[in-house]
Amino acid sequence: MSNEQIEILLVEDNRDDLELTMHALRKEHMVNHIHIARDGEEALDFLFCAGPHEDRSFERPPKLVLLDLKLPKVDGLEVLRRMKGDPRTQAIPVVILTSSKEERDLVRGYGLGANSYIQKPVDFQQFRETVKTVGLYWLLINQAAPTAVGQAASKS
Amino acid sequence: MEQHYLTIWSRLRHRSWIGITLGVVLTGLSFVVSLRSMRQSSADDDWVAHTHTVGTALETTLAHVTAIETGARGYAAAGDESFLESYGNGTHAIGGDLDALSSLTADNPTQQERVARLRMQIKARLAIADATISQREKTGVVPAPQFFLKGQRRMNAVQATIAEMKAQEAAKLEQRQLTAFSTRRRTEVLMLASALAGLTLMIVAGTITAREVKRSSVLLDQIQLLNADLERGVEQRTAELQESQQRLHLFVEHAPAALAMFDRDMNYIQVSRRWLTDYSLEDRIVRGASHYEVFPEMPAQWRDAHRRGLEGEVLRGESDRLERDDGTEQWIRWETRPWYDSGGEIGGIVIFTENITERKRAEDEVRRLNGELEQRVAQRTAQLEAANKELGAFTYSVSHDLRAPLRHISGFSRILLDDFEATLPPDAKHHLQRIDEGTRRMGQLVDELLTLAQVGRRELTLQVVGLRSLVDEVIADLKPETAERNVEWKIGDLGYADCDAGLVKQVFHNLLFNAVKFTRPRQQAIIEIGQTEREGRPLFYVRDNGVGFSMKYADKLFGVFQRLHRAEDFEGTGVGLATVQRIVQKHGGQIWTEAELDRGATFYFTLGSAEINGSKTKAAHAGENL
Repeated sequence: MSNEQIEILLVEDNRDDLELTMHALRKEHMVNHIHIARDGEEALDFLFCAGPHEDRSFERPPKLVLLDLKLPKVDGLEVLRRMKGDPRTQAIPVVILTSSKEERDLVRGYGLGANSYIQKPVDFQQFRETVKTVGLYWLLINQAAPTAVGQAASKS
Repeated sequence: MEQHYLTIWSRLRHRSWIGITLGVVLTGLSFVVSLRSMRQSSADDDWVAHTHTVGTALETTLAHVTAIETGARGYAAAGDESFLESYGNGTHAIGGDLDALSSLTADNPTQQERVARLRMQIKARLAIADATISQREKTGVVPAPQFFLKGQRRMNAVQATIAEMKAQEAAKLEQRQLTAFSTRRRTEVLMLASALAGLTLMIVAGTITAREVKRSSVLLDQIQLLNADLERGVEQRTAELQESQQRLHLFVEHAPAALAMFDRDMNYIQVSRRWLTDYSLEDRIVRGASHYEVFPEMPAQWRDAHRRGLEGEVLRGESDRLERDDGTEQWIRWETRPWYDSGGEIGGIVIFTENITERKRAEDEVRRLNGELEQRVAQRTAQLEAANKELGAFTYSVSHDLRAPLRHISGFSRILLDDFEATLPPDAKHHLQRIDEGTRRMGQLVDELLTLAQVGRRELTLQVVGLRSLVDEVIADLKPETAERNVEWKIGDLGYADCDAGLVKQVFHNLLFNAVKFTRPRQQAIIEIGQTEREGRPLFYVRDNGVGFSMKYADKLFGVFQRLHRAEDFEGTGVGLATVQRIVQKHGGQIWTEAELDRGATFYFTLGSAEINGSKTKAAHAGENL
């Protein structure tokens, strides 16, 4: 799996949310390209190729980060701030996927450079639709920034 | 007028003096003349009487001579001695008669001569008579005739002399009577003249006096009338003055203000009761007393103000402190102004004061209380802020943590339904559907409650918003609800409002959503959105032809969780209209409704923010006009 292109980094601490999100992604056949981080630290390690992921390369960034905000250790907004503050990771699209509809979260999220902000619908069918649409857009429709990723892909 | 009286009086007096003087002179003259005439007349009368006396004395003398002659003759002839008695009587009286005659004619020498002659003749006769008697006595016979003849001759001489004297006296009497007559005539003429003069004078004087009296009486009447008028006027003026003084006195005394009037030496002339009570002077007699005796503690600046007042200045002070001798403190609002006497000179000053000590105290108290209140407000604000923060944390928590389990329940029940549809018994599927529905409703409820809470906490972001575009957006949002229904939207002219766009959109959303929901039983749903005017302010409305409701529940309509319909008929949380009301109120507006069961409902609302942020609105509109 590590050799395959990771298309989505899913940062989610809640097991149930994780399971439901995975269920939805599985339905859309996107589950094979997902890496899961259970807290902010894990997410940062993955993104910055550190700790357990030090063998990873910045040249193979995920195509999308689905980021929850309320996370143990390092919270979602801090993860976002670090990503968008670093040239190596700032081009990676981040979609905040959270239970919160708090205005201040929205404001801070966009302020820190989030590409999208989605409140998880309570209704699961809506949630599935949302996940499907988001995946479809960012993975298929959206043209990613030209990074080492593209070059590496063309070489292989 | 007075001049006129004086002239009349002086003229009257002048004329009277002439008349009186003339009268006195005439009366005096007449008195003198009369007196003289009376004296003359009396003298004449005396003379007449005298003449008669002389006449009588002559008669008596003659009688006595005759008696002597007769007696002597009778005795000589008859020798009867009874004749001697008559003779004796005669001789006895004759001497006295001659003396009386002599004395009576003492003033007349001619008569004196005649008296002397008469005396001689009587003496001669007596001698004859004596001789005759002696002859008889001697002879006892009748004497010789020569005795008788001689006697007769001598008797004739006596009679002639007496007749002569009588004639003389008669002539004199006649002369005297003539004189007396002429004197009386003169006197009469004089008296008549004087009486006539007096009468004339009296008539003239009387006429003049009568005229003057008449004139003066007319004038007197006039004067009396005028005097009466004058007196009445004076009385009336006096009464008026007294009344006016009393009124002024009453006015000042009972004026509900502290007033005092002073003379130039700052002595009290008049003072209101309020003044006395305000300065605790009830038991003092201040009238006539000096202001500075009454208030020895009077500060220098007020004494100065009084001095300047006496020089004609009007001065006032809004809040000055006066420390009384007894140590109490008073706060005074005052005004001092001069008053002018009838000559236009400053007669003194009037001081008006208001004891504002109580007010000052109250103000201080209010300040103190305000301070306390502010402190309490600050405290409460801090508490409120803390509570708000807590609420913020709570809503965040609700938003995050309460929705998550709901999502999970919904998610997993959905997965069961989707993925295990084939293996699930129908009952299980039904129950799962109910779970799914329940979680969805609760999710909706949580969302709406969050919105409501957020409206309360959120600061309004006011901007000029075109309401038509908001409504259009909402209608577009409601497409999923209306797509398969026959809904006619009637949108009137909608203007611009100074409001929070997001929140007002929420208002329209909730109202239009309700309208769509409650017209569901209608074949043809008609929903009107428009704007009119009420009391000069825009009034917005949303009207539908839905199921409506009874107005008796209207007061419940905007309460949280209050519903007028069963959930089976019309789904809903009972939060939507509460949110609408909260938003409208937050804008300073009002919302109310008119409805009838089964006849639709109309919701009216105003947005008062134009007043709240007037300047901002104007600026915004001005920008728009450019």
